[in-house]
Amino acid sequence: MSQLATQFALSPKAAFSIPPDQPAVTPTPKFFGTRAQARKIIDRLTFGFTSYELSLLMQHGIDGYLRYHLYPEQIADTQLDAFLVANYPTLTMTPQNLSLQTSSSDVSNQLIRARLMRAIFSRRQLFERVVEMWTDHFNIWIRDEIVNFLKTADDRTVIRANALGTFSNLLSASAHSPAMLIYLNNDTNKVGRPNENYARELMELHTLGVDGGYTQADVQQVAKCFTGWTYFGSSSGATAYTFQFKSTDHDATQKTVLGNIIPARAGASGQQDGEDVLNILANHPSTRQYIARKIVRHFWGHSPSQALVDSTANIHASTGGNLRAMVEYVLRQTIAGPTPPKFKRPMHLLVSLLRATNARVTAPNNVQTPLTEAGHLPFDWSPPDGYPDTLEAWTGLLLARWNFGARLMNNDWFNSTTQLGITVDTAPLIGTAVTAPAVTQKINDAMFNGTLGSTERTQLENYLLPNNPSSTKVREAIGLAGGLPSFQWY
Amino acid sequence: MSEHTQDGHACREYNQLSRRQFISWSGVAAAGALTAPAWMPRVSFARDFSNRDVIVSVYLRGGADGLTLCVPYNDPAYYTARPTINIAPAPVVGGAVNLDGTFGLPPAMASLLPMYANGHMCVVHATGSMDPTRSHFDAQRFMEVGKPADPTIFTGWLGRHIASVAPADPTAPVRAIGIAYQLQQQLVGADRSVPVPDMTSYILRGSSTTRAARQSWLDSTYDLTSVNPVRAAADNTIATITKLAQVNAGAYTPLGTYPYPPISGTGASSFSKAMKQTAALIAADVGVEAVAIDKGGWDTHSAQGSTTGTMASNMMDLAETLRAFYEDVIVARNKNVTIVIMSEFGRRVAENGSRGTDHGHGNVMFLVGKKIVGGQVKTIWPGLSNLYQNLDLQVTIDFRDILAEIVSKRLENQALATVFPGFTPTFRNIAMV
Repeated sequence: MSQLATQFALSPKAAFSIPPDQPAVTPTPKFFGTRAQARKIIDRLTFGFTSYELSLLMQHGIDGYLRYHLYPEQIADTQLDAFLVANYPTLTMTPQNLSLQTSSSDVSNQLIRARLMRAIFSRRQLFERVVEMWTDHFNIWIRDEIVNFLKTADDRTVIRANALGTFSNLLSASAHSPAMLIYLNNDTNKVGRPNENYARELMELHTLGVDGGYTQADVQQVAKCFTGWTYFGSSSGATAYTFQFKSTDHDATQKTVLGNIIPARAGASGQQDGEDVLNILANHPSTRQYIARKIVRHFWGHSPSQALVDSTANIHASTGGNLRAMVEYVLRQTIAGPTPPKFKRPMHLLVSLLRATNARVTAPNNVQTPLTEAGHLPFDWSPPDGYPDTLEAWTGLLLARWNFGARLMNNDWFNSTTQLGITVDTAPLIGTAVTAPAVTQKINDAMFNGTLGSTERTQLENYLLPNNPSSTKVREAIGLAGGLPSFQWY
Repeated sequence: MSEHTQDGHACREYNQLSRRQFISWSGVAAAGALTAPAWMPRVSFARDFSNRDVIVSVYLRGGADGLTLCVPYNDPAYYTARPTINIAPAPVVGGAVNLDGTFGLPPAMASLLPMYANGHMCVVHATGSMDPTRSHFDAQRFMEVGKPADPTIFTGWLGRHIASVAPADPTAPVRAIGIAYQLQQQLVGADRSVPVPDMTSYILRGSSTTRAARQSWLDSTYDLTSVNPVRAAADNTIATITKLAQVNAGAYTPLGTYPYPPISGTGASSFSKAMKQTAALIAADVGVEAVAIDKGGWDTHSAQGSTTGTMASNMMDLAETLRAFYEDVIVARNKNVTIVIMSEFGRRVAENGSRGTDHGHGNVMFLVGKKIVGGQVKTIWPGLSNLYQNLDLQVTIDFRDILAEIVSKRLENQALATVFPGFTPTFRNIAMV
């Protein structure tokens, strides 16, 4: 088994290329399954198969590999961390400091690029897949006014901080996040003239689901509960752009939410109204179903059985909404069963292609344009429901998907003058292979763990023939392999 | 990829339609009799459909505020409910542009007035879906599938229209285009339909020397190894690449006296680009029968900006673009086109505390075309003193009444029970045969 290192970004500030801590293939591997099983397990936990992940699976065995990824806080990711610190300093800034940056679009670009670099290169691959799910669930459009710098704080303190924690903590963090309060207009939700945007989406999209049993009256009552939930303004020093409850804007009357009385509360205690609502919603049976279905759809597939959703919801109930436990359960079901394949969304597809081809990324802004062309740039979905996760949403625009491979292997994303961009070195991929079948086998091993069906192999061979194909032709074949039907699914 | 069942969609209806997509049209009628859902018609090929209109379906995403798009300026309750975001009554300067003595266009949409005066534009008011949902996503879904509150239907009303008539041009490789990244739900179910975000850059990238070879390789590889819906999508993609290369929308020169916005300054909006590309497509006569276009930015919960601001800019872009398209395609080129413009719901009659409006109910639709019964505001006006759930404009005309009349009279498809299952439309005299 050839070791393809996940080649790291070379940048003026962070010049890494090969991770130093490649795990040795143990003399007594702990994984004994087929190549197809290995590919499936890796594809289901990560943003795409690499030989590095394969070596981890061999080293740890299925159970160990799963547990390895379920505890991302124990995975050293020093190279990526150093890269992020060196290149994207805004990621760790306070809201106040974010607001003081001269270019807020630079702040949002740093977040988008960091998102892509993490998806491609992080060792904490499962964590990044979980982050992907919650980013859509608690979607915030990064182009929405000052959200363009505040989403950075939301990504760090809401999504990433709680991705594998409890659902109630995740929900609560989101509800107190200025980016969310602004995006869904709760910052202007005041006594007397409530704004019901956040209240509605909180129940429809974040917790109960649209058929979860709330009424228009509940929406209006919840909106009243959240009056006064806003953020500190720019002149508030270190607290600028952090959560603020403004009791003077709060509706202190009694409310009824889903049959629960929220008592009249005056002054600062009025904040408890919203906290009560969050508690009611976080532990509601409809929420358990809705969140379970979300996790199952993300990790298992497009059309899960109700039984799988129910058993996942039971984990929610029995663990107090422990997201790590729910993700672990769904992944075990996914790996064990005859799980139908899931269609990669465009970002997943592009990231998996860059991983499979061991691409070197020195200017990740290059992948922003192709993702925009495919309709899947991170944080760029304007409605609050997040990018769709259905088959029919993504099967229409195949051309943008084919163009990922076509452009990557044509060096469209590499500036030969500055030597920055995204490149693939085919030499380690292809080795000494010269015949069409041998080159095909190398591509098959690197990108598919050798699991390509005979028809797709033959098609690749036919493109490469006659033997001794030119390097250009080999490059094109790799690009086409990224467009193969098999590469669209995982 | 034979080891997998890729057809992961749970819905039988969807799978049946997907399989149908690559059946040649000669086989559809027979196949439909065996496998299609009950609403799927036995297609008759006897009629000549060549004169039916191309339909351009514009969807205003986010719940556009119908009380601003078409102002009931004679109703005092409007001004009571909208103290800071109203549009002044006609004929005050800066106020509503009078249509019929009762309703008026916002000043930002004054450029539509000649189309109305020519009898080529009809506004339908207090229309929409009878379903009570105020969820964007449910409301859009219910309207686009053409049947409220039915979670089992995945195909769209326009998709079922396409699926239930023979192609206007039997040789057309593409029958419907959604100018979008994801095919709009209203078009799902149409055979030979494809989402195209930008018609001017719909090409396979990489070396031009090997482009034809790679395209042909992808075509044959998907035919050999993929299953629906991906296989049909690949076929549609290849056909569309070829056809759009012929259309060459990037080089399109509009006719007519009215330029597509912007006239100067920053780049064209995505809506202006989409309509101009649609004009190129229709001018090229390549047999495309339906185009779906989205225009977003209407979810105006805060700082709505009816006369200057967010919504005014959006309305101006909408109106200027429609006018340009009208002068170009409908007047100068004399093409048979019907444009329908709708949104998932109207907005709350009373403004909220953020100088915006929350999700509401009844709304407007706009219809444009030479065979539209224009120059009228078609409504059964319920007034603003007798509100739906004491909050919103009532719906007195079901949106399907309007669409069904268009389908019947302008698209010449009488299979209305297929296009709008479970619904008996009442025609409102908004279109001519």
